[in-house]
Amino acid sequence: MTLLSIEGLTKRFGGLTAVDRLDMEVSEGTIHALIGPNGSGKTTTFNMISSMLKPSSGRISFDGRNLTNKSPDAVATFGISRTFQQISLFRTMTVLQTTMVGAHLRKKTGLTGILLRTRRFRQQEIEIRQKALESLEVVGLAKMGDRMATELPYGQQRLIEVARALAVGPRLLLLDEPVAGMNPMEIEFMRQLVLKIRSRGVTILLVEHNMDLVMDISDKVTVISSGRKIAEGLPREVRSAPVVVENYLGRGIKVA
Amino acid sequence: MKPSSIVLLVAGLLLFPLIMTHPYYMHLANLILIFALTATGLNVVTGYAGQLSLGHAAFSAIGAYSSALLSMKLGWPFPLALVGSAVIATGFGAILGIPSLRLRGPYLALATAGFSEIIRIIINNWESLTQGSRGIPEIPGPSFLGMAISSERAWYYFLIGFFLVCTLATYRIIHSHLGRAFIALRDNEQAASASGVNPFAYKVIAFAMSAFLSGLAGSLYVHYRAYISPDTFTFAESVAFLSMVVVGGKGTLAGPLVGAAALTLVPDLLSFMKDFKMVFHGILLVLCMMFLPGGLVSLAGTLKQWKPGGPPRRSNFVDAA
Repeated sequence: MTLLSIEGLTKRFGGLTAVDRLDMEVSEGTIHALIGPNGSGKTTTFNMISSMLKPSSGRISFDGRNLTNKSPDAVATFGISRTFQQISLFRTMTVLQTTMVGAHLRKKTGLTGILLRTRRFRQQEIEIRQKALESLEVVGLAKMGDRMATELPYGQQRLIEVARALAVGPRLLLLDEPVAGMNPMEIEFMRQLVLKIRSRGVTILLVEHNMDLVMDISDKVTVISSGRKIAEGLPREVRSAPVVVENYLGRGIKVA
Repeated sequence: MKPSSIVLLVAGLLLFPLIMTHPYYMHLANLILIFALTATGLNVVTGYAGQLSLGHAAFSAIGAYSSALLSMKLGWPFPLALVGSAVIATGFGAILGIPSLRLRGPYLALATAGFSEIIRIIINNWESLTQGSRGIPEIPGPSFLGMAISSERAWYYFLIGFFLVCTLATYRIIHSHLGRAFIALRDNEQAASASGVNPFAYKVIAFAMSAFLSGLAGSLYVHYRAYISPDTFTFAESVAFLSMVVVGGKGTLAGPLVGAAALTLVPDLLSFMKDFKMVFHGILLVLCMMFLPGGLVSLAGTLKQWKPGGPPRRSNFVDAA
C-alpha cells in the first residue's frame, strides 16, 4: 500500500529548479532511499514533505490525505517526523527533555490543568515521559536522559534526533543523512537501528550518501539528479543502471 | 532549588518587614515586588520563549490605566478592576504576538517598541478618557476582606502574596508541555515545529501570558501609587524591565526578582555619588553583562563550583534570545 505519494513536485528558487516534476511513491512498511549527487534536490524534497518549504507546484499526499501547504507542526500530527542533516537539538535541554518535546502532541490539558496540576495533567506528563523514555530505549540512550543533549558526542546527538522523531509516534520517519560524519561502528549501530525501527512498523524514507548502507538496507531506491528522477527500483537494479553510474556513482567505483 | 532553600527564602521574605521597619525601605521593597512581577511577565516571553520585547512597559501602562478607569469611571471594586485590567492587557499581548510569527530578533524588538510608543501616544492624546498628560490622580487603594490596604507594610504582605502566587503559576507553566514548547521554540524553532509544536500559537500564548502578568503589575502599581500619567511607563521603563530580566538571569525563575532588586537598590545605594550616579550604574550594568552573561542568579552556581577540590568550573548558563 502506498503511504506517501508525490506527484509532479517542483521547487524553483528564482531561476533555479531544485526539484523538477518529481513523482515518487513510498510503500508502507518499507525502507525507501532517496539518493543523488550533492545539490540534486534531496533535502529540498525532504523539506517539502515536512512542509518546511512550500512547493512551487505539485502534490504530496499521505495515506490518501492531502499534505500540500500544511504547516510543519500539522505534518507531525499526520504521523510524519524527521531528523535534520544539521543536528538540531535544543541547547538548554537534557536528553530526556529534548525527547519529551517530540512527544508534545500527546498533551491533553490546557492552562487550567497546568495551573492546578490536575490528575489529567499529571497523567499526561507521565505518558509523555514514558513515551520519551521508550524512544530513548530504542536508540540505546535510556541511561543518558539527564545529560545535556549538546554535551554528548556527535554520534549520540544524531541518535537523540532519532529518539525525538520517534517520540512523535510517526508512521513515516524521514532520516536526512543519518550516518553523515559517523565512524564505522556508529554506522553499523545506525544500520541496525533503522532496521529495528522498520520492524516496529514505521516506514522510513532515507536520504543518504553512504552507498554501502543504502544498498544494504533499502527496499527501494529512487535516484535523482538535478532535481529529476533518473532511476528507481530495487537496490541491485539501480546500482547497475548505466544512467545512475554515469550521473552519480561514477565509473570505476565499485559498490560493495 | 531545593525545597529547604525555598522555605528559607519565603520565610525571609515574610519576616523582612519586622527587621526593616523604616517606611522608605518598605516602599522600595514594594516597588521591587511590582517591578519583579512585570519582569516575570517579560521573562516568560523573552527569557523562556526567546521573543525579544522592548515594549513591555506598554502592558503595564494598559493594565494601570484600565484598572484606574474601571474603578473610577465604572466604580468597579478593586479585585474586579485588577482582573479586568489584566484581561485587557492579555488581549493586547495576544495581538502583539501576531507579528512575532514573521519578525525575529531585533525586528520584533523594534515592532514591540513601536507598539509601546503608539500606546503612549494614544494615552497622551485621548484626553476625554485618560486626562492626557495631566494624568489621573487620587486612584482609590484596595481593600482586602473588608480591611483597607494603606500602610506600606500591609502593601508589602499583599504584594508578596501576589508575587509568590504568580511565581508559582509561572513555575508550573514552565514545567509543563507549554514551557517545554516555549524553550524548544527559543532554542530551535525548526526542530520544535517538526515535533508538532505550532510556533505561531505558542508565541501568541507566550505574549498573552506575559502581558497578563505585566498588566497585573501595572494595575497593582496604579493602586499603590494612587497616580498614573503617560510618563509613568515609557520606553525607558521597557528597557529597565528588560535589564532586570537580563541582569537577574533570563530564563530563570528567580532572575526577575533578583534583577528588579538590583536595579532598584543600586541607584539608591549610589545616591551619594550625586551626578555620577547613573554613570556608575551604567558601568555596573556593562560589567555585569561582560562577566555574568547568565545574570546574577548564575553567581550561585559559579560560587559552588569554585570550592577547592570541587568539579572543574564549567559554564552552564541557561542562555536565551
